[in-house]
Amino acid sequence: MKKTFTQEFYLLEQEAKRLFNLFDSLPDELFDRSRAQPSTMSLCKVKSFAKAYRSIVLLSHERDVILN
Amino acid sequence: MKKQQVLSDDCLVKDFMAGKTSAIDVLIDRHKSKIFSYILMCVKQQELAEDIFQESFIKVIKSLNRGKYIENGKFSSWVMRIAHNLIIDHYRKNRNQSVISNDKYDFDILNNIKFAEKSVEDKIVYDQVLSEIGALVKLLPDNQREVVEMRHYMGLSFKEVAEETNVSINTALGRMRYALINLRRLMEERNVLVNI
Repeated sequence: MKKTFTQEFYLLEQEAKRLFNLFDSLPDELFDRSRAQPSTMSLCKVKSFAKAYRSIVLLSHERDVILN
Repeated sequence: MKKQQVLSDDCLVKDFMAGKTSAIDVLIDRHKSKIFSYILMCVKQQELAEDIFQESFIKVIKSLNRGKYIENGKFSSWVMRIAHNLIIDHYRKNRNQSVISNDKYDFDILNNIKFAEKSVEDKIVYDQVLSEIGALVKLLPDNQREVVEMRHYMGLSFKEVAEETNVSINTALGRMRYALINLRRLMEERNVLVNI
């Protein structure tokens, strides 16, 4: 059985690192009009998670409190 | 709301950590384009980029709730670093799931009986062989049977077997060796064939 790697993963990691340094050096405002945008669904999911997770965190700290 | 738009990232982070959940909405909207553009440039697939984007912000939210954010740079850089690590994780995960190529073969190497699920008949034979071997193990001298049972039926290491039986590892290994020799002899005597 022969294993064939179809991608050069090391190069992908190097490219991601190069892009990271490039993006990090650019001002945030430059991307305000970027065409690449996450979907509304993704944004909703993340924002909902933030609210739900906050409640979970609060509940875990106050689990001994009995609320009527 | 207008007041929030002019607040710095650090102020919004502090607000969120203090319990004002709407502060994260502003942070997400402020930095979504940069973070998403970076992820998309790296992975070049919209759906995958969406997944990594969501996962990145979920990590951000969890870290902030645990008070793990340290003000030593830009908020966007911190989020990008989290996204970068997830991208690298994705690459490495893919590397481990290496591709098997059939290109140089005239036949499908995976279309082999060895890779097929065992038939009911195979399972019956397998169970029968195991039961016959179990019966032979019972015929071994006590000290050898003990080692075989602890090693193969209970999954203990030889070190653990040695400790349990109060002997040295070499003695445990020696008993296992004699147990296997005896088992082979017993199998030949009783015509038990093992072909698993």
